[in-house]
Amino acid sequence: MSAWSQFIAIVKRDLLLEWRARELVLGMLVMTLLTLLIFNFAFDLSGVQRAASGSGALWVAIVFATLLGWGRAVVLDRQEGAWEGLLLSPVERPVIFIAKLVSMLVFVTIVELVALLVLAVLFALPVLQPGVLVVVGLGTLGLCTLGTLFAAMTANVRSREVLLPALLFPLAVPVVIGAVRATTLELNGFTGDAAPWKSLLGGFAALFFALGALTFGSVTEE
Amino acid sequence: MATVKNTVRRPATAAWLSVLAALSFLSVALSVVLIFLYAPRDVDQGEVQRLFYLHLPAAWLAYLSFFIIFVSSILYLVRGHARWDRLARSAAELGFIFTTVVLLTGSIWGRPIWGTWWTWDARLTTTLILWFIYLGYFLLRAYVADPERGARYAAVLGIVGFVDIPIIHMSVRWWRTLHPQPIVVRSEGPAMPPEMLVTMIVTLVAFCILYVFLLAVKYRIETTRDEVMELRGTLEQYG
Amino acid sequence: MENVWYLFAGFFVTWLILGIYLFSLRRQIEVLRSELASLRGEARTSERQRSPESATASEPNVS
Repeated sequence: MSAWSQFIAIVKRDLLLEWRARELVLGMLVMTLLTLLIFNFAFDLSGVQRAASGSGALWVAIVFATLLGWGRAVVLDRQEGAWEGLLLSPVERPVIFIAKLVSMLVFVTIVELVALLVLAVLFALPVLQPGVLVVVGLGTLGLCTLGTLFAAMTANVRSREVLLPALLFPLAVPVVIGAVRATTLELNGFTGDAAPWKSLLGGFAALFFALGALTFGSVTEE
Repeated sequence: MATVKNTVRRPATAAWLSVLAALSFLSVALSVVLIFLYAPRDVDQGEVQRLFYLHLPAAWLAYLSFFIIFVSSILYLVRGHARWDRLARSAAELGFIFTTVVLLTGSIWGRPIWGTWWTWDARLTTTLILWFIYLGYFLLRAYVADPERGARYAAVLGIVGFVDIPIIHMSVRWWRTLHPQPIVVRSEGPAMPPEMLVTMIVTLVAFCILYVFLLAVKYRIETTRDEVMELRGTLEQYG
Repeated sequence: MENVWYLFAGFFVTWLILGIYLFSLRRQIEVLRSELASLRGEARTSERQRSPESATASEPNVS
């Protein structure tokens, strides 16, 4: 089996399992929508500053949803020895890394599309424009590459709910700063100013994608 | 089964360690003398500027420690020798201590100068995030049940963290410069008079010697700790 | 000159932290020493239990 078909097989399995159970995406979705709701009451999402508050709310919601998603995903993965089986199979570790990353990206993207719709409709923010979508894509990629690596590390650890954010948040600071800034700029129409932030996000995602793929083997030795 | 008595390094054999201890003490004492009696009073900031002589070496050592963790982590993942993990553990503890010192001295220095206990200046903010990464490093090692796996995971964190630090710094700096903020005056505007420079260098060297001493002590403690654990394991197996 | 208070606070905090750390290192050494001592005791008793006739001879030294 080539690496490509192995990759496809893993992703298909993850998507199929999720299609049947649907708990991951629904959980993340509920979390995201509630976060946006609370933010609406905590900050003024309909006032003059709403581009900044809106993008802040969006990214906090995405971060929390991603955390939740990864927490649940690693638990689901390890049910009934499925994870051990995967590790024992002759699939290269980087392939597993990329496959897990892609599966989670699919789930998070679904959740984000709904969140963006909510922001567009309920808070009248022009989020459904290519600039914003690019930023969301790049930022999510950065978050998920780190998430894939550290979720695998913290999968069997007690206090995973605390440890994963404790590891992820400091490392993901550039993504949060860059994504919020770029989203705000795009919402306000300053696409040119958002360009350096987008390159930061893109570079971050590329760098930690490579690093993650390289070190995933060390994380999944048994 | 190996005898217990032959596996412990006796303190008497560590003559060089005592020399290092004495050297650290003397050099730090010298630097304190220089800081208070030789270095001139700063024109703008007054006496409080003397805190900078502690703040900068501490910052240097905080980041140097992380670099040591970075290199040891790579070596540990590639070669697998326990000594690299021991070095990483030791450097992590020291690095955390010095990062704490940087943050506290920075804050205490900043209060009379900038009028505030904290400012989201790029360097201070990055150091704060470094502090949290160190914390995560310890939590990871503490919570992972198997020590060998914990060592591997910590090594990955050490590598990823170190690579991330310059990116964090850059993103925070952009965040600050493209964002309205109160005026922050750094003390390194005009060139340092030579007496200050000398004091700074002596203090830096003194702290480096102290650092090497502490690292050596901590490393030996970790080596002994590993041996104790091994012995305990052997005893449980055969005893 | 009132800033001198901050100066001394900063120095105090720094040496306090380093001092506490040195004490912590000292304690780590003591804990390890006592663990080693108890392990030595355990090793001796278990060797005596397993081979009582060689208890008076020198301890087996297998590496």
